Amino acid sequence: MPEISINRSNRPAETGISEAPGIAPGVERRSIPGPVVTEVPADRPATICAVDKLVLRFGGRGSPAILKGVSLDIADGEAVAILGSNGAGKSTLLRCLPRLLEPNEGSVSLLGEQVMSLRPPALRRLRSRIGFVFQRHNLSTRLSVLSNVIHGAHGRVGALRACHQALAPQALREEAMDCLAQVRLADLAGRRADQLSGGQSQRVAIARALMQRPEIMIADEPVASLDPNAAEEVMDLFARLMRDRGITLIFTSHHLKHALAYGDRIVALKSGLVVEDKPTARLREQDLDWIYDSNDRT
Amino acid sequence: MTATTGPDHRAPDRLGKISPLAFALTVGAAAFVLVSFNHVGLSWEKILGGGPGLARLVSQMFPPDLSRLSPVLVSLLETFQMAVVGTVLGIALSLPLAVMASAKHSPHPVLRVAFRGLIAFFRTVPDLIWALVFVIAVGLGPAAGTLAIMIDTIGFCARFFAEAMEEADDGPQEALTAMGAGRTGLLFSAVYPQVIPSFIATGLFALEKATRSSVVLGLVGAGGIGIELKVAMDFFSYDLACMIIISIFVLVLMVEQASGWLRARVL
Repeated sequence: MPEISINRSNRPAETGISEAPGIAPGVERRSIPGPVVTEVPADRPATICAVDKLVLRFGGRGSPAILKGVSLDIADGEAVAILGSNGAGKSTLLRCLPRLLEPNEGSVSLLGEQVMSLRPPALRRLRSRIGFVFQRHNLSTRLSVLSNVIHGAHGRVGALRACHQALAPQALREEAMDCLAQVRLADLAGRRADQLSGGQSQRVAIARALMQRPEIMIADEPVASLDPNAAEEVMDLFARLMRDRGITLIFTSHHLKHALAYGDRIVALKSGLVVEDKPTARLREQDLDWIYDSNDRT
Repeated sequence: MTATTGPDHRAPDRLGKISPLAFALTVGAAAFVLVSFNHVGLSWEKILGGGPGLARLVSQMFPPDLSRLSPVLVSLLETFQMAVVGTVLGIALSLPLAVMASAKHSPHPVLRVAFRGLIAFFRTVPDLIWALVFVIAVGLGPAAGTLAIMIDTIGFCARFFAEAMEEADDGPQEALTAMGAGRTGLLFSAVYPQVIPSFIATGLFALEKATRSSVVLGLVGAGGIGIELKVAMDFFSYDLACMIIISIFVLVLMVEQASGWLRARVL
């Protein structure tokens, strides 16, 4: 397994070796030397994501809210782990950020844009700047790995050129191969996506997100469906790629260890409310156990 | 061992409760079936009485008359060509119509209802009626039959294509939406790749159906082998009719076999 830095306090150091301000007790942190590729625009706002009093309920006005006024600011380059038990609202919150779900109240500012007021073309342009990795990978399983990665260019090129590797321009194919090489799957470019293991599928999904040239990456329980070894490998790879590019990472997880290891900050949700928001350096695993208790401490 | 029955662990009733309306509808449907049997005048007496007539017909059909094999095969080829062209055109037109009629992908609910209605209309009017309409519109011959098959194929394929698109896994579509893909991108990258096997299977069924239909369309002058069969029957040339029926049977069987083989390869 490659040696990887899993500290991501703010923007990556130019040396590529993270400056860990503090390490949560009991969590192993490793650092790696290596080149840092930073592709972040210089004029990007310091607060890259601002969520304000977000409320979302499925159903009518009387139905119970899944999110009950969530507020959250995320700084450029930060890695934020969102924790919470099933039904706490983690995935719902992530889907509200690029408006895959429409909140009932509140606002989201992402990459300097007021997401709720964007019209469809502008919303699509914004979404193309945001990588989104899903728990179930969500690949087009009957297409090749290369075609799936090329789909990441949908926001930049026409639909027909990005729908299949055979129709893609050479430059796009080369870029997709480069993304696949970064997740160490270049040799499987021609394989159909339904013939991959879970870990390989998730790495293809990450390559597809990299193909977007994202400025922010959202990952909804990216390793939940993987066995422990594959989960570790995918999280390590994911965290390294984000750090190398200085990309803000927002991810949800059920693994406290992953949250502490790969997040700079932990935001805990319970019953649709933020109940904890602290830097990982000030947290221990046992501090967070109560989030999963059925007894409400909120 | 813990008891699993008791007031709180009662198994559900063997049969669910039936509402008065459902009961009335069931009784009404059963009564309608019985009345229909009576109305059509079907009886054992009639069925058994038809036996000698059937035996006489079969004896006059064999041996089949092979003297007109060559023109019959030409008509058979024309019939199959009508089926192929009508199916291809029908499938091509079904693709956009299915998008418009699909609940998930139609641009507007009003358009969805309108296109669903149009497709249902194409499907519910029998192909023979369409053939009559097109014979009046474009004249006698295979063009009328081809257009009738095309409309019939749209009615069949567009409905199943739309249903297949609605049943496609939402995951890849959500991923593409999250990446900023538009409607076309979503269709070509996430929906069509998933539903292509279903589309091919439906298309092959449509071709089988069209091959059978194209035989009958000749009866109203819409081209194909149907007219040969009608003339043979009208002139009591049952041995020639037998040869035509066997030719049709072989064609339909070949199309079904080829289509089944292709479906197995694709799915």
